[in-house]
Amino acid sequence: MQKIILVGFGFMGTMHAQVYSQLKKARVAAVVDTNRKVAAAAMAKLGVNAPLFGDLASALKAVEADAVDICLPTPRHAPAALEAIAAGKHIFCEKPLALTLADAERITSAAKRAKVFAQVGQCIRFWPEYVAFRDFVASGRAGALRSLSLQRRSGLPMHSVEGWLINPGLSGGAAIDLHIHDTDFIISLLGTPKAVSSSATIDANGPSHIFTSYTYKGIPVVAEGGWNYPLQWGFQMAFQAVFEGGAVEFDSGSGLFLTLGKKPKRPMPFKAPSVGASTTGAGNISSLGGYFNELQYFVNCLETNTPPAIATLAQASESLRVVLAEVASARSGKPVNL
Amino acid sequence: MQRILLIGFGFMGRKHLDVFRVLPDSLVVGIVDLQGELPDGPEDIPVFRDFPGALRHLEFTAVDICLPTDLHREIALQAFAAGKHVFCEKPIALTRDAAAAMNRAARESGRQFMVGHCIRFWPEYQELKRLVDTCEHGRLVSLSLDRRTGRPNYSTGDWVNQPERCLGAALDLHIHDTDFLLHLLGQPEAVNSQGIQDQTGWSSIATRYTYGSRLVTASGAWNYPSKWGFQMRFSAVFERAALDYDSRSELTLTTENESPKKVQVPATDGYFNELAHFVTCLEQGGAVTISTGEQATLSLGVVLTEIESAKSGKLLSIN
Repeated sequence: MQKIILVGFGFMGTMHAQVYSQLKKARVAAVVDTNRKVAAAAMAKLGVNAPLFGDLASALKAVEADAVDICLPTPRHAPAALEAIAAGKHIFCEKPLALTLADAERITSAAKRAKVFAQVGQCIRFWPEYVAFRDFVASGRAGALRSLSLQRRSGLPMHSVEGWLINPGLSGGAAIDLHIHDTDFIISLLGTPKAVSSSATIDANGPSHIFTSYTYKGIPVVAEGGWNYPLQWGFQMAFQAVFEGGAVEFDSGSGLFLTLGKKPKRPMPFKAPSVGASTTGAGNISSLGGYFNELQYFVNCLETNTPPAIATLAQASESLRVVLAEVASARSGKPVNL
Repeated sequence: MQRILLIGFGFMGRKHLDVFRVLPDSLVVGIVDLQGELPDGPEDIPVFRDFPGALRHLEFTAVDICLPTDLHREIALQAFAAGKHVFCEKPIALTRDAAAAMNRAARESGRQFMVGHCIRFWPEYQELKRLVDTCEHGRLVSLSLDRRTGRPNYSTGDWVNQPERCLGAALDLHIHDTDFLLHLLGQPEAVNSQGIQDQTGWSSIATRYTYGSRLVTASGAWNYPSKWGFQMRFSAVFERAALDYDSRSELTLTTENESPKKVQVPATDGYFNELAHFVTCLEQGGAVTISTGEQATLSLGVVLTEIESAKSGKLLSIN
């Protein structure tokens, strides 16, 4: 049984709490949130039965725990991670790992020195439809991948505590907070691109909408991420992949489809965990699928004493490096070599 | 009444005949097709093997060229020389030189010259243009357009899969969106493209266009499996709204304080509307203003630059 200290009980913290309640080998040993009144109400609503602390140090002192799960605004990842690592705890840190490569490096080297396990919440690596797609690419069933485009679009995220997501100094804007999901997934599929070339809408909320072309030998890859749609617009994530002998497409509004050879298009099977939907009603995602898979994987790694190999600190740092290059390219109007 | 000679009776020629049958003030008086006879063609319209034959035996005011792209130039020059107005399918030609020669011939003949960039006449795209022009929901902030389909297998002699006759999806398919962008926003400052070249030419292309601070991208690909079907779509973000269209669903407007709602557009399509524009302009003795030969030449130039950019991997400025 893994005992988890959950730090930050906003949108993502409540998501994770709902997942832990369905994982047999984990339980929330404590919740940490600076706003104890709001956190206590949210815990009561979700039926989370654990002591609540106003700071991580007190929780680490008072509670026996194996791991710390960090669901804080991005600039607070590094301080919390370093504190947890110093206390010898394994860490699960929400994405993006940090806003700067320096912070990402500090977390990575501290975890290495302390020999603790670490995983980052790049949940798309665990998202059922994206996993099925990655497996399909690896199977070679439709021949080589010829081109790939990915989109992630939504209204401005208004669900964050004190609006930190819409403060570009805290979130990095849609480019860093939203679009990094697709950058990270592309890298998991094809490795680091040779170069990136981006354009972006930059407004009061930072780079609110970014378009990037990634340079991979022989495969055009483009991705788009924006949260400057009207609030009521909803959320969409989608991709289209063309192979030598087929096509796979996904749209969060309609599903995952495969067209193989001369056969008609049909729904493509994928494995989804049998977990319920989020009951908070906040944020973009109703299905807990990807969150469940990533935390189940993390908890299994801890249970079997195996270091996580998916969504590692090194991988998350590399995705941050590429997405920062995309923002630099959008600002300069020039391609950036990696 | 405009008397039309339809030249080419393949996929597009048949579509146009269906339109002319219901369009007022127009009559298809003859068809030119290399085969000289059309076993499955209309019984009430004479068929000729070549343009001079039709010219000798028929009276007509305009020609409608629905031939493979590499044949557009020659037949358009013959039609202008004979004093006919010309409607020519898109893309206008394969090269800037061929397009320039066609425009020159049009000017010298004093006849009207329109090119079949039907997306300028597609109701959902017309609504997008209306919102951009009126700024009803603020300025256009970003726009992405996509056009995807299975491998085209409907062309006579499979000409669209022969790169030297068609130049692939980049020119034949994607030019719809490039041309619409020029219609909407004028010429871009620069283009940056990636593409795939295979035995059928440029079967896939994705381009980012430089339009000041606006984000504009478009992609076109026909290397999907043949059973995949067809999709055209766009997503436009304005300062205070978003307009979304997908040919598989419907046109949707989302404003800041309301849920997404369906936008009603006329139940016509671009093929009907473009030919109606052509016939109306001729009937009223006025000039064609939308989708002229000159406009189509600019669109061709931008697409050819996109292909150059995809080849070189470089950002290329337009003019």
